Parts: sequence; structure tokens; C-alpha cells
Amino acid sequence: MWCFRFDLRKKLMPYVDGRLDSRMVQKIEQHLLDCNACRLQVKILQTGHRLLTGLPVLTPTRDPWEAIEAAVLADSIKAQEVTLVAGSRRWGVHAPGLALAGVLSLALAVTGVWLIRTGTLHERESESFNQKEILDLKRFQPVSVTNIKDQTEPHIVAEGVVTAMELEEEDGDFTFKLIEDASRPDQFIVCEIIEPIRLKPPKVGSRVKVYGVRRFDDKSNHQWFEVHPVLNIEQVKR
Amino acid sequence: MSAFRSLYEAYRDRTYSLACYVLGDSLQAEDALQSIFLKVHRSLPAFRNESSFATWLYRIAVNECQDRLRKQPEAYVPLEDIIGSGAEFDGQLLPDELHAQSERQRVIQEALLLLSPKLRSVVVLKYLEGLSYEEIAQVLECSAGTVASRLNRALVELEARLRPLKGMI
Repeated sequence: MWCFRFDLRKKLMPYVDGRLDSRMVQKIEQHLLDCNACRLQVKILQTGHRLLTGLPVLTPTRDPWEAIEAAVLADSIKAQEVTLVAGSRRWGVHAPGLALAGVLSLALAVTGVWLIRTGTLHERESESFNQKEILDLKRFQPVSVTNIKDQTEPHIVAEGVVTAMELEEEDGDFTFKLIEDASRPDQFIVCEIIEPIRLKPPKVGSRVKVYGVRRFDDKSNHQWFEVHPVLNIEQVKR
Repeated sequence: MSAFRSLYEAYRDRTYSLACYVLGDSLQAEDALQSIFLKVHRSLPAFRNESSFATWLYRIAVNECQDRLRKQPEAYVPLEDIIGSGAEFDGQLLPDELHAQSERQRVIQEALLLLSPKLRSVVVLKYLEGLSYEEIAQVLECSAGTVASRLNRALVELEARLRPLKGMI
């Protein structure tokens, strides 16, 4: 059975939802008296409507605020760098009479920008990024590969040897495993370097301290602990 | 930062629920929650009060979920992976009514997750976030008529999936 009153059929959902004016409600109800198909449709919609009313609000098992805060801070640092560069560029030539001064200023500015950028790169080379002052790394709870499961603090620092480095080509994220020593490769923590805190990945085989947010990946084929996102990496010299 | 944190706390659960229902994966939803609020923070200076803050936030959330769905192959995720199996309650006696209610919600949520992401988005924005057709249309950048039509399809599909369980729910 089918109803060809398309104009009225498309009003059935707003009708069930109580969104029609009284004139249209009257029109629909008049139609429902004669139309079995639309009556059935209304009944179906009312059932669905009833079932969905009171859909529960869910709460994340782990509050990701710490990671969001860290990412926002990383953003602010980037913005400051950009402002600094843009500020330097304002020293350009503004009038022909000031050409020489302008050229000199520009040269100084370019040198300044180069120095700033070199400095930033240099800092990244040292495998420690400039958020560490803001992050207060002393607040991070030290954990080991074997006792991470006993910790409850969200901010942790784990020490170990870097293995199994992988690059996800789709989003450019790096993933690596941190192990206690090579004789126990089955005990590891998975570390994820993700946007926007794009740190330089450490060398495979190097010993590092990894700062970040502790989480448990409970997917059936994973079931492991992670540092995700990684907020800072420090090389450990032995 | 404290103002932004207040904003985050006010919308965290609703945004997470939206992501969880649309993505069908709690871990992905947690990741999405981070990205959504980071994008919100980045875009706040561009927010023009042309729509309500909630509508604007949900648009960012829905776009983030859709991007993630595009990147991943379609896969059925058992509801237990999302809301837990209930095993954590073993050994505890729950009142029958409470148990029946949670079972009913579990069945409804499972049926909801079988809808397409497009239909799920409309349903969640309407029944969880309580948005009007016009607000949903703003979030999804479509017409209010399209919203009504998608809701219609969603409810019909949902009823068809749950019909065999009539009596239980």
C-alpha cells in the first residue's frame, strides 16, 4: 500500500515531532483518517521517536584535557614565532629615500629571522622541544615499561630503548615502541608522536625519556599501554 | 586558558557523545574530542556569533567525525567495545528495573550504530543535543527539509531493526 500525497508524507516527521501549526495538524489528521499507509508510517515514526527520547549522554573514560591544554600551548608558541617573523619583516623599505637604510634593515631582519629559525631548529635537533618550560616536566610521574599498569597519573615520563619506528603515511604521525631491554621485546609501551606536537622522532636503538599522556589502548588486538600524545623526548646519555 | 577550560567542561560530554555515536568507537571519539577542541581554540577568533556557539561547535565536531570516517574502512564495531560489556557489574546485584533500563538503552544504542553515519549525525543532534531542525541544518549545512527527511529515514530504519525485539524494549 502506498500514498501518493507526497506533500503530506514529508510532513509526517514534523507532525510526530510536534512542529506543525494547528492548521497543518488538522490537515494531516484528516488525511490519516482515510490513509492506512500514512497511519502506519506515523506509528513507526512515533515508535522510533519514543525509543530515541532519553538517549544517554556518554562520558569519556579518560579526560583528554591535559593533552588539549598541551596542544593549545604548542599552538601559542608557534603563533609567537610567526609574530616574531612578521614583526621582523615590518622593517622593510617604506620610502625610496630610505632605500639604503631599508636594505640594511631588511638584511638585519633576514639575519634575525634566520638566527631565530636556526635556533628553533637547533633546539629541535637536541630532541627536546621548547614547550618543556611551559609543561613543567617535574610534574610528570616516572614510570617503567613494567610498572606503567600500576600508575594512575595521566602525565608520565617513561624511559627505555626505542624500537619499531613506524610512520603513518596518511597523517605523518610517528609511532614507536619503548622497551626496557632487547631481551624482553614483548614488554613495551607504544609512543605516538602526533599533530600538532610534531617532535623529531628519536633514533632507533637510542635510550630516551618520553614525556606524555598515559593511556590504555583497549582494542582487542592491541591491549597495550601508550604514551599518547608524546609531549617531549629527552635523549639519555649512558 | 581557564575560560577555555570552562567552555570545554561545559561541552565535553555532549561533544564526546556526538563523536562516540557517530564514529562508533570510544577510543577514536576520545582522539576526536582532542582534535575538535583544538580546532575550536584555533577558530575561536573567527567565531562571528552568526549561529549559536553550540551549533558552531557541533559543526566542527561533525566535520571532524566525517573526516575520520572517510579515512577509515567501514567496519562493524560491537557495542560492547563502545559502552562496555557490563561484565564490570558482575557480582553486584542491580535492581531489576535498573537492569532492564540499561539493557533497553544498550539495544537502542546498538541499533543506532547500525544506521549510516549521516543518519546517525541527525539523530544524535536531535535527540541527544536537542537541536531544532534549523540548527541541525546549520550544523550539517543542508536544508531543514533534508533534516526532516533524514530523521524520517533514520526512525523508520531504527524501528525496523528493533521490531523483532518488540516486548523486550
